[in-house]
Amino acid sequence: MQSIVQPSIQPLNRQSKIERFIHGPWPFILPALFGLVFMRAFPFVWQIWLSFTNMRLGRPGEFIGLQNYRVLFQNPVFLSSIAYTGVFMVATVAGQMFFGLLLALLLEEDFKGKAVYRMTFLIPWIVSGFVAGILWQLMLVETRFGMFNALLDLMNVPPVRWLSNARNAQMSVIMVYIWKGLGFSLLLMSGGLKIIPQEMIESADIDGASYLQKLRLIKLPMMKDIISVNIIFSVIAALNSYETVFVLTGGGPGGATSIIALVMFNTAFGDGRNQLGRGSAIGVVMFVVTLIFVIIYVRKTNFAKGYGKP
Amino acid sequence: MKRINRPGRLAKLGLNHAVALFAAFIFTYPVIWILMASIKPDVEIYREPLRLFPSRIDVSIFQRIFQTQPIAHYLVNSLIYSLGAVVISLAFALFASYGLSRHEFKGKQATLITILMVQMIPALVSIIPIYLLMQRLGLYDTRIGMVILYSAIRIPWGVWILVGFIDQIPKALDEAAIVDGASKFRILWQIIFPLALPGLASAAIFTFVGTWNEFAIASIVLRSSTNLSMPVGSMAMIAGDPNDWRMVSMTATVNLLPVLAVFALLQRHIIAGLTRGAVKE
Repeated sequence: MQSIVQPSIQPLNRQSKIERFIHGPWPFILPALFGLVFMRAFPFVWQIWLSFTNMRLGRPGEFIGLQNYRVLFQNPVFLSSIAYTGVFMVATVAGQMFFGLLLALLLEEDFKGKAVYRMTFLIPWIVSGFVAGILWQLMLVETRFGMFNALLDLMNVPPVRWLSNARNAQMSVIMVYIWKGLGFSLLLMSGGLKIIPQEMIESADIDGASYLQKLRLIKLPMMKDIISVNIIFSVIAALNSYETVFVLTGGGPGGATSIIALVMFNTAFGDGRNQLGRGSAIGVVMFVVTLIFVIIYVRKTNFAKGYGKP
Repeated sequence: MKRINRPGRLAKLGLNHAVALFAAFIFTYPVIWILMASIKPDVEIYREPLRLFPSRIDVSIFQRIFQTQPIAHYLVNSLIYSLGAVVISLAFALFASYGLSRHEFKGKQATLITILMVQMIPALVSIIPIYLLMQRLGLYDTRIGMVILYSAIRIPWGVWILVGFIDQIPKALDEAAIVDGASKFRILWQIIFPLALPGLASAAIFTFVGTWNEFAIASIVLRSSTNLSMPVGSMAMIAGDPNDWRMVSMTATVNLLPVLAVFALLQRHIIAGLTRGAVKE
């Protein structure tokens, strides 16, 4: 173990193990690490154990092996939740990437008021998930006095059931999450565009490249890494979405918008049966899928060689 | 861009503004609408959805929710949770970042990777064991428990932001202080702390907004109305009377205003904190 303590002050070889520990980095790191391991990492591990039990609230529960997983993956409610979660993830991430890139490209152009525009684009991202749910619930009121239906009414279109029709509700939830998460994607995309060397663009200009050619042949390839990082973050966020959809639809109608986190909350705390063991199994599924993306990220950013500089 | 002629350039400028305005409209309209709805007279909110600005300002609902609902309580609680998490998590994170930035040792990479991975996996996925842990520690439905939990959740963010900042502070400064016989705690307090203040500021704002907005965990860990945080308490209020749109809008507005204020004033810090925490550049 190396220490930065100057040998002239305290010769290394004279120090006992304890002294070396005290003068090393660990006294600074351990308090944070303890909190982290105890309150954050330990629950991940404990949850794996819980998922093998039939624990309910106020009842310790016994070991039942893989029973929870078996029941879950045969349960049509859970399977349809997984199916919607998949669609939801793909659609929101695709939407966030596409519009995030579009707006980042727009903000790269030269025109006045860009700073103000950028700020307005980021507002949904700073709004809490809870408030976003409330906002959109009011926008999507289904009588003709809802904002969206009032607009349709102007064009003589009959009111749409935005949230009480299963298909529409699924689309509305996706739309709201794209609205909410776009700002983050925009920030990363803007960062990615900034690191492209200006000379490359200029030499392409001299060769007479069109805008789309420059985008396809220079910008996108140069942004490959930042786009993958962006996708990884957005996928993790989408997979772990809860509050906006909880407030907006509560998972309804008839479970149509029950993304996986809602099923976990409902299984453990919502439906009166409080099956903590089975809920834990859902949590483990979410954990494992998230972990896969985290590992991809860590490898992608070459984390081992320095502080994860991409 | 010399090749583009003048009318073409004007058309392009017009298009840019048109697209930007349209996007700005979509992003801000619902937010502005709800801010306005909270001060509209009843008739206008229920019957004129396309009217944005109220014909007269009516703040009676504001007084009503503060008189009939424990919303002031929720506000104070949320302030305690957010500020508590800021102070505690950043104190821990500052110490850890100093240790990590200023030492080379076996296990440094492993520690950093652990912190990064824990940061990237949302606490939400382990909400059930967190709930049980809080119960067993006697922290369930207590304000101190909520502060401890939020602090623990925010530590890794703080470390990630601060390690980057402290790395940029020249090591020669600490070495000079060591020669003068200063202890490491003094170096941390008198050299690192003041120089890391910009980093601490962005970490603080980022932590504050994140904690202020947090809903899912608080909805499980808190129960009594004296302890509820702003979003969870607001949810309870709204669930009580979902058709009172004015009350709903005003409640959302009270949730929203502090965050909008922080964002308007300190936008740059939040973005710096985020990009530093998310992708190290």
